[in-house]
Amino acid sequence: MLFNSFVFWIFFFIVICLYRGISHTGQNRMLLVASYVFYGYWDYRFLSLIFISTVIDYFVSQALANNNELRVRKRILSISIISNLGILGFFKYFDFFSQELSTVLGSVGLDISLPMLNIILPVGISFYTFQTMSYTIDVFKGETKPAKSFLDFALYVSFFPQLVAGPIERSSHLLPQILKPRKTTENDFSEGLYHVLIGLFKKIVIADNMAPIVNSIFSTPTADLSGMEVLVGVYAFAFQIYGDFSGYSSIAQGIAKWMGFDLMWNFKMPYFSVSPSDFWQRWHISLSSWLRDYLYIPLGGNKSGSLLTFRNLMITMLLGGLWHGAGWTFMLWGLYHGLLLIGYRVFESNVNDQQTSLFTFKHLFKIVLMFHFICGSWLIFRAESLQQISGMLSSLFFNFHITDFALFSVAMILFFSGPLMVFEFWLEKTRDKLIILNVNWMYRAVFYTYLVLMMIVFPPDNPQDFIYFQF
Amino acid sequence: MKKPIEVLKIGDVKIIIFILFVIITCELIIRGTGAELSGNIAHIETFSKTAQKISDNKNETVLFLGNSLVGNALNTDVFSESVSKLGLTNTNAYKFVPDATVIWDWYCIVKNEFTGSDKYPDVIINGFAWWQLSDQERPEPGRLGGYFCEVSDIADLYSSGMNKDEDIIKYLISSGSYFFTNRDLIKKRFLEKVIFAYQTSVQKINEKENYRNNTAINTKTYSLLTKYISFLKDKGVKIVFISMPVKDDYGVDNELISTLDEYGAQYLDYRHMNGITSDLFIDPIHLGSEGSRIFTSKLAEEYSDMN
Repeated sequence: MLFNSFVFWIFFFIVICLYRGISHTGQNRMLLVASYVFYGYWDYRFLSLIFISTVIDYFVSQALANNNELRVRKRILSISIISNLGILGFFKYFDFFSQELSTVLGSVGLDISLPMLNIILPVGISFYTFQTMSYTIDVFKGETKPAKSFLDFALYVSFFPQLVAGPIERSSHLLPQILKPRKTTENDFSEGLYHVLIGLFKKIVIADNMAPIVNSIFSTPTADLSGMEVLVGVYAFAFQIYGDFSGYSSIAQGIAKWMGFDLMWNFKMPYFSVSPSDFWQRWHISLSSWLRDYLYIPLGGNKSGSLLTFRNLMITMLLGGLWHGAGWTFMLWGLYHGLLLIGYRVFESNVNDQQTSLFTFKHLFKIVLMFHFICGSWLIFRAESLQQISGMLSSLFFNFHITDFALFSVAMILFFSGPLMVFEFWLEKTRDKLIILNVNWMYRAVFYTYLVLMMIVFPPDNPQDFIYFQF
Repeated sequence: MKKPIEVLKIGDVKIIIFILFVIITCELIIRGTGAELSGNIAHIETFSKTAQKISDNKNETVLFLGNSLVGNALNTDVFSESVSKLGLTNTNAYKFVPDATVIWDWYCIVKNEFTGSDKYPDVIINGFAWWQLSDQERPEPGRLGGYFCEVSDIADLYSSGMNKDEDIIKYLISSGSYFFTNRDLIKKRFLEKVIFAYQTSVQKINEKENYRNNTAINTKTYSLLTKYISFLKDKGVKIVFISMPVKDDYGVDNELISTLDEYGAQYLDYRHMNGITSDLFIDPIHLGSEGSRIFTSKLAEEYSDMN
């Protein structure tokens, strides 16, 4: 069920009606059933997978709670890590590595045909496996108490608003909300309504209207593309992926809010970032903070000198790229971001840079520069092969001319994405992500009406799946 | 747990009322001005009257059914005049040619527009191109629910293949909301005015998308077409299908031809009609006035020969 589908809202209406009339324990049980129905609607065959992951990590956490010997605890934790990464590795990477290994062996004269299983990737697997791994690691470190009730823990793993595309919630944040009775206040409805409307707008109006432009440009042979078409195609993808992913996260936050849950912010105006590290504190925050806490810092972080810091950054970003998908373009995307982080560290360590206000030319220049660096990464991310990346770069730098289609695309980007960027500029300037909730109701009414009318009148001709479902 | 009404701020209640007020206002405006918005809506709104004329007409009646391909190619006055000169003086021609329609729409039109009438057209000549008669041609639920089909048709459409949850819900909403039904039209009109090269660029995008979709689906089926032909035969209507001429050639499925033959529908292949040349088209698919005159005259000759 897509969040922007009528079927989902009928489902959610039923859930919320049931939710409001029952006790806390009843709510948790009902939400668990609803979450499994939600996930099973995609493909019921993969319910067993999420159940297995839940069972393993529940019993691992119980075992960790009952053992004090470090050596034994490490072994117990490894069961969770190996099983979660094993499940993820098999479903996500088996065919890719099988194919690449066959190619490598073939190139050295060993003609071995390794099996290709054409495995279907279960929706959300990258998200819930990381979420449950963070739970067992936190129990191991003593930062979280293990959940006593299996059913409450199962709800933490499968909570439907954030199950298939995040945010990846830490147990210390979400589990207490499951365990304690929840109260919904009038502010929760207000905030939830804002998140839902802006999320649906970002997905339906921005992301899905950018998709045909992006698909058209990226499916055209690179020799037939002008440089400007490549440029606007990348810009369009930048807004498509932002609208798509941040829209999903917003809707998840909103519907969770309506049930009294507080989910973490996953995006904070990322295209106003001034550096790569700033970007990663604003984009897919739940993943970047996960990688920081469970990979980068255990590797040593930035505590061991420049070279080791660069190594740690690179490993983290490469694995971050690999998390997104089994493909060399994703690895290259991770490498690009690693180099960007390293490059900016080197540059910023040699330049005495004071924080400047949003309205200075210097600050705006940094935003525009960073946006274009990010767009460079989106070209790599969206391309289907290394050859396509090089072809498009070649067109961009050596065949730059204006075409009607490019001008059309610019106009579409400005029409659909421009107002959102103006709105986010205001949020950035005021440093208050929820400032809209404090303005006079009339202004809010006009704003929400704009969002709703745009969704009614300007839906895409062909609704698209959420991009991050493929991860 | 608080009652729902207690968790809403007064400001939020006002906002929701405001949004609903604006939507209802838009609905009323569209209902009042639909025909002025679009020639296509104005044409659709004439169907009931035309169906009544057909019903009241004691002469032989021919209904041309299709989309804008037929709308541009067929001139009913020229047709009536031509067949009259060829000896069929009591033949009256009518057109139901709403834009962008396909087999799903045509099926609902013939099912519903003549309900309650004493008489169906004697002959229906249905123009098509590409895969417009196949089950794989995607139904447009907004158009079906808003214009051509009744709520009670949903079971029939569901069994014919319109079985996605979203399509059914959009169909039901369109059955009640003119605003929802016509949102595509509003979108198109607005964007054509504000976006540079909107029409040509969207056409380019759609051509690529259609090419991908049509090459992806290799096997076509025709269950809805067989229902359509059977329905009309039960009503005593003679049905003729014409593959319409367009600039770029297209194939006609052998399975389609054998289905038409099996169900007793006549098929005329006009893809390469004599006298229709590329310069007679105003765009890749629509004939201009001279092309329309040639097409209509030749069709009139063929019609006379059939009778």
